[in-house]
Amino acid sequence: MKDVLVSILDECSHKYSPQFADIRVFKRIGSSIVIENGRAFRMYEYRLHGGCVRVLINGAWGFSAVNDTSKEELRRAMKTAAKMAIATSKRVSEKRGVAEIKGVEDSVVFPVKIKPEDIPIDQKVKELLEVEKVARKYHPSVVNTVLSYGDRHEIEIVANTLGTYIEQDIPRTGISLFVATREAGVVQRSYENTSGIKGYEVLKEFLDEEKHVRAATTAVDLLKASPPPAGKFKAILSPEITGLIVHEAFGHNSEADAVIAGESILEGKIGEKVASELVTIVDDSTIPGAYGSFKYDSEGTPGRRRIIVEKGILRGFLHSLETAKKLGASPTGSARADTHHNIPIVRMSNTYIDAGDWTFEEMLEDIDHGIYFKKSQWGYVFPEKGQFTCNVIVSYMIRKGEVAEILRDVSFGGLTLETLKTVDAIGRDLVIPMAGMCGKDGQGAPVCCGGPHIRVKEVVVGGRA
Amino acid sequence: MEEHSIDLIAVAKKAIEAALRAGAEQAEAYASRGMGTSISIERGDFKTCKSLYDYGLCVRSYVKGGMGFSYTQRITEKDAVEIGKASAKLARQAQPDPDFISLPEPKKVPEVPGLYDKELAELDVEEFSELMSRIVDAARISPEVIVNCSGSYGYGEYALVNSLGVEIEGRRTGIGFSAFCIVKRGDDIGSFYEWDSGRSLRDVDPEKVGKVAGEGAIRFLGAKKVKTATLPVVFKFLPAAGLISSLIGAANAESIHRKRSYLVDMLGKRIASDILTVYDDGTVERGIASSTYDAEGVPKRRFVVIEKGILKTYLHNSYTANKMKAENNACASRAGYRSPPGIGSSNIQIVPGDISLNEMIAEMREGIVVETGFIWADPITGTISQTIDFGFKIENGEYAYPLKGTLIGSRILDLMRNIDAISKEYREEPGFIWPAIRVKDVRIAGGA
Repeated sequence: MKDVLVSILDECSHKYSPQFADIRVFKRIGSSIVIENGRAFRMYEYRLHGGCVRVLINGAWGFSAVNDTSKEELRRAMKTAAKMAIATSKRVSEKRGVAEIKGVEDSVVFPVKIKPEDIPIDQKVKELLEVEKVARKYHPSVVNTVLSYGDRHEIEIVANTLGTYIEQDIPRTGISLFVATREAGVVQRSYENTSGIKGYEVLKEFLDEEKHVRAATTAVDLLKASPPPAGKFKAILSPEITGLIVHEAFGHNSEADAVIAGESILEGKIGEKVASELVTIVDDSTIPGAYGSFKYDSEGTPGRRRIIVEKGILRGFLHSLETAKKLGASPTGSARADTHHNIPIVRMSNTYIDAGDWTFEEMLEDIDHGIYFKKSQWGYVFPEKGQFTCNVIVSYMIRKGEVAEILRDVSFGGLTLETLKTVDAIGRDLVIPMAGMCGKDGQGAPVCCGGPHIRVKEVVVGGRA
Repeated sequence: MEEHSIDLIAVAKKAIEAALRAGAEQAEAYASRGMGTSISIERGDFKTCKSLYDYGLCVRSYVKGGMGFSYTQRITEKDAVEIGKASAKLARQAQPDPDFISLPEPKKVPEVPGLYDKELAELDVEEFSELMSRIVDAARISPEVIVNCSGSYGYGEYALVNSLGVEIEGRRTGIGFSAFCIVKRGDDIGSFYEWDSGRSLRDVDPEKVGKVAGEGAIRFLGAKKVKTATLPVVFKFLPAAGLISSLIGAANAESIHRKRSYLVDMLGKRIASDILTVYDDGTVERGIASSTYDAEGVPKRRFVVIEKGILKTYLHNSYTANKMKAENNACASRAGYRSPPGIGSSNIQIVPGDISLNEMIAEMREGIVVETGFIWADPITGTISQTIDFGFKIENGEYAYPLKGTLIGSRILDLMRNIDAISKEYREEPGFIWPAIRVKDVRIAGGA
């Protein structure tokens, strides 16, 4: 494959003298099993396969993708990409460029403990049914259980005119369990998942943490939960919610493409205080086994551990080759593409707030009336205003320094910079528990997020009471 | 390019034959190919131009109701045979599902007109670039407006075949673009967005999109926090559409069958104010969500979902209609070749009321108008707990100031039952009709 890609890049250079060009060849092979209400009656298998070429000519990008990896089709894609770049370049007033880093050659395979393909499908079904059964039989109010298991391999080959040639094979396996309960007209739900750059061992990890029991317990407990009050509250965030907030409220603002587009509240703030001095925020694509990890990004730049905020001071952004050039920074290996259909854009990997030295009990002590946000569902942000929303499935009131009654369906929101400046305690219990797909510009990217428990002086809760 | 000339029906049939030979009792194949072009503009300057030629094939097979689904991004006959066999093998490995009765039988109806536009299919990238430039020019109503845009257009064709004789092919075009504008005055930031889409160039208005986004960004400067209170809220066209679409999404018959929806046992009951009537019409000429057949080959239709506040039907595909012994209202929907059909609504049409939007707002002594953004309810619990990202405070019946840090907390059924006005003006996207709604007594949480 290397000879083919290099020859197409050579042809591109000869014909169009681009500032930069790259080719990616992509393959994703996967399978999944869905068990619902005790039956494994839906099975899936798929194969994505193709290539794409990106060309930078006269300061403008052209991109073309095909579901084919033959030399002939990739050459055709290269010519189409060049045509697109030339058409666009007539309308470009400020020419774009890329950071000229040293090319890298490498071939990477991520090892797993148990290869999913070595486990017969019958065995998988049998073992997964046992897991689902525990949740289904947990309580009479359980009305629906859906257990999804999926494994996939992603093979990405990147070659570019900087001399980079990377082959990377990333296996990802995941198991998730959804439980719905119903009683007296009230419907509630919970879910748990374990996903990572792992193999079939995810099932054991899921069971070791008793997530099947936890999903059922939570969905049952929520039937009796109270609706949340509305207004301003002092709050403690669990590691999962800390992760959601660091990803949604802050992380997207630190993506340099948003900064350049004027869509980040962090524009022009490097070196400034953007959070409480207790807060250090890290994005690290090198954590072994984590769902958001990789060795090279989709531009072939090595991923690494990057400190975004250090003791409250903004230290830098996440970069692609283009954004690094534009802002005079070093590329951080943060350009990721979903498939060959997509242009790499700046993304997070595994993002977290670093550990402090508080215990959970110490944080609770000072709160007379507040909320403990425990389990999250989703979040989003309008980064240009720094206005974020986090939806929380499970929360608890805090009364007189103690965790009190359970609350359901809570959202809280706020303004990122205001909220992070009011963090007044950070726990010592750092974990990065939340694995999921992050969506941006129509592309999905596997990410992880987390942190320790943290305490925030004020958030606004959208409650009904 | 070999895939250009491949007969999609023939490929789909080949896949079905292979699936049946490999033991499938029933099978369905869907093949598609299409070309799309997209442009992104950053800070008013062209950034990227992208071309995508996509094609793929999927097959779902059934054995005793157990389903196997397989897809690939190749559409040669050899691939069709492989995918057909693979899906049948998966179906054999799957456990039986007694709730599956059958895929649908064939039924032919005349084609919904206007889904394919030759002029758009043949649009040149230069012409599209020109159109995108017009958005930027219209949005730059002052030099301080930052304009980011993206847009795309393209055409696609598809074939759907099943082992009971369904054999359908079709083609369609589409165009869509959006503008996101930002204005910064120190720490004061205003932003707004607007979009448009259609099946042909005559359905879209780039100048309007630019102007609305640019003006909106300036209007949203000077945002303030409000105090926590219970107030009337006017949801303008897009937020109203979001709320009502999410309500209709919960009427998905599969969710009802699995008991994971707050609309379980609500058929024939009141779920909204008696002034709310909503249709789903998948047959509108040139409609964005129109198609002649649903994703399983059942002819699309117009039907009432909510009539004077009463839930009249759930949204069915063949699986749920057979199982629940209901009429199949052709709501099988498919995102492409990468997933089997699910259930979804098509063109949602909310019947407009008889009061003007200005009157609806003027009648509020104190209230809130949600200008745009997507407000939705959790499809399982029906809870709404969200930020009002683009809202205005109304004082003495007039726009006072934009909001920040303001959340809404409610349940969708409470909101729907508290609708006390629907505007006579509406936003019309091809096929869709979205008036504004006013809801009394909404719990608003503010940071002031």
